[in-house]
Amino acid sequence: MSTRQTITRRSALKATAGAAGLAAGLATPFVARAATDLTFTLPWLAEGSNLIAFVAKSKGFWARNGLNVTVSRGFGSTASAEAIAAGKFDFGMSVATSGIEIAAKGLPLVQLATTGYDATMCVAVLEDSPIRTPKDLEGKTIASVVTSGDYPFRPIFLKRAGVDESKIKPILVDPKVRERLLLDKKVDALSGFAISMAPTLYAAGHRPRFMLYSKYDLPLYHNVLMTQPARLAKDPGQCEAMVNGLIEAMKFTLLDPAAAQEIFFKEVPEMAMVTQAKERLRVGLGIWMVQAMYAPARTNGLGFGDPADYAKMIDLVMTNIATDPKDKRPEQDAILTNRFTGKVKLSDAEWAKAEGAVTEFKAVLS
Amino acid sequence: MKGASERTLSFMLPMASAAVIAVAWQLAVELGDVPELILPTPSAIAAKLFGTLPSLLQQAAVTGREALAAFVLAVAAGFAGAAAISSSKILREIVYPAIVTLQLIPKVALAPLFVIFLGIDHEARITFAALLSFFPVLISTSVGLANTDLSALRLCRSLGASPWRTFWSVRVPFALPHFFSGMRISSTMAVTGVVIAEFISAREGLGFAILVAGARSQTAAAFAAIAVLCLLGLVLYGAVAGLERLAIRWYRG
Repeated sequence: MSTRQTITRRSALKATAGAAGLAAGLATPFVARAATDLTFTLPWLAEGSNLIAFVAKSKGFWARNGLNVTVSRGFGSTASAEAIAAGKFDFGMSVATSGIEIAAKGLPLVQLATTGYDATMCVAVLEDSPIRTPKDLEGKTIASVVTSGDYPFRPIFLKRAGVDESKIKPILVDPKVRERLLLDKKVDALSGFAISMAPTLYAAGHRPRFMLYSKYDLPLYHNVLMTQPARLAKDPGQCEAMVNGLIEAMKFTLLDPAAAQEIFFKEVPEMAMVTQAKERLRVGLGIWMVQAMYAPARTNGLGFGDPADYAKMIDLVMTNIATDPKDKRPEQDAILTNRFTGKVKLSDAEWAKAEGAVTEFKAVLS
Repeated sequence: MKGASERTLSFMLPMASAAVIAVAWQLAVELGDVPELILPTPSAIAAKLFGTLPSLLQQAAVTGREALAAFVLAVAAGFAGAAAISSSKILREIVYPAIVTLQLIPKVALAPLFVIFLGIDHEARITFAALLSFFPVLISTSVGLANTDLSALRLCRSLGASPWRTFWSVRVPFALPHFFSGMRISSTMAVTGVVIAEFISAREGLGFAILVAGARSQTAAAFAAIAVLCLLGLVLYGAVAGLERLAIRWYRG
């Protein structure tokens, strides 16, 4: 009995298939075979300013990095930052200053990647308003949402703009009625985030004017990817994968906002039911794009958080928000890391392309 | 003697149970090392309460005034509505389904509309709170008016009493316990209604204080404002209970 094996066509095919399978298995990173389930909270409802989370999910930017992410709506910047710090969500996005505030209150939170460099905190008026400068706000009624991240910074803005705050008539309102009150002229101005207010006002056929706090040396970043420091220490690979996916989504959105909008409506179909949904998304996304293209992203790459800006933000939070004697100034190194950012940079041609798509909104924020 | 000891017991039992809960709460937070932002200890809340009492009382006065106005409106409208419904079967058939339907609507969802319709000042808050607290008075009183002792009504008729006289002298006294039970529920709902409305639009008040403290992660301050709010509700509820005792004493002659 011969021990020599005969190579038939069938056995050759089997062997080739087996070898190919083995090679594929070895070449594929572990993460791609065992996706990790993660939860992620937005700072607020799904909208243009946080659309990149849906792009990261839909385009598989997170999945490619071995992550299966469930995105949930948020209930305000501070509430979202608090929920992430408390471990109710694995990751999430919130306004940078809300994260600093929560850290000052003693909750563990670290900021991993910046997705916007101007929260667009502002006072908004309608285009036909007699209020032309901040000084004109004296004697006028300003409606604000107390849970909005801009609220604690309004007094500093007014002070820096030379406005006597005691002459302002402030009123706190629910976000559901804020823009309506301005449109009905029941109040003279609104304070809030231009990126959140503009979509509603544009959709109502108005072109509002915004007095941005950032023009008064208040460098207040917009949404930042956050998680718990313990997770960063225990599983930096997972944090890096999360950052990579989100940064890829940022790049995709900056270069192809039209496709990003289509993805958004596919991922969040209920948003299509909102009146003027497309216009709202176009405006929100347009404003997000303008402030996502600021200097730190151009110089150091997408997602980079400038430590100098963080130093100012920490000062602002500690002197204006975290003023309880029990609050402690967080160390910058403990709340901000750029370990995973700065790898993705756009070419000059790509920046020009992105800028060309949002010329209309550059004027809004200028 | 027995009555006195029962009264002492009815006072001591809730106090003792509250004290036990407070101690357990304090220990759980301290031993569990729970951050104050998540859940403050009762002692931290008490410290904040006494530290900010003048300001909280000022806010309570604002909420209290509006709650009282809403409550008075709700009682007046509820009583008038109940009187109208009980006086006419046709009116009852017309109005009752609408009332039940309105009652089924989660009125919190309507609160923003009041601001849009009535503006950002106290009119919107008072009207919303009145709407919220109107139903218990209406329903309870109409049940009371409908369940007047038939023999008393027959006696009135046989004596030739006018419907107006029968209403005030027989129906209303019979309905008093129902009316007051509706009022008691209504008093707490008026306070709740004003606070909900303050969440939608306000310049001051306890709802405003809770919202500001909550938004700034000052959880102990939010709890302190809630404690004052409870106290305000209890004061209004107690006032109604006192009024009820007086009215029933008058009714019994």
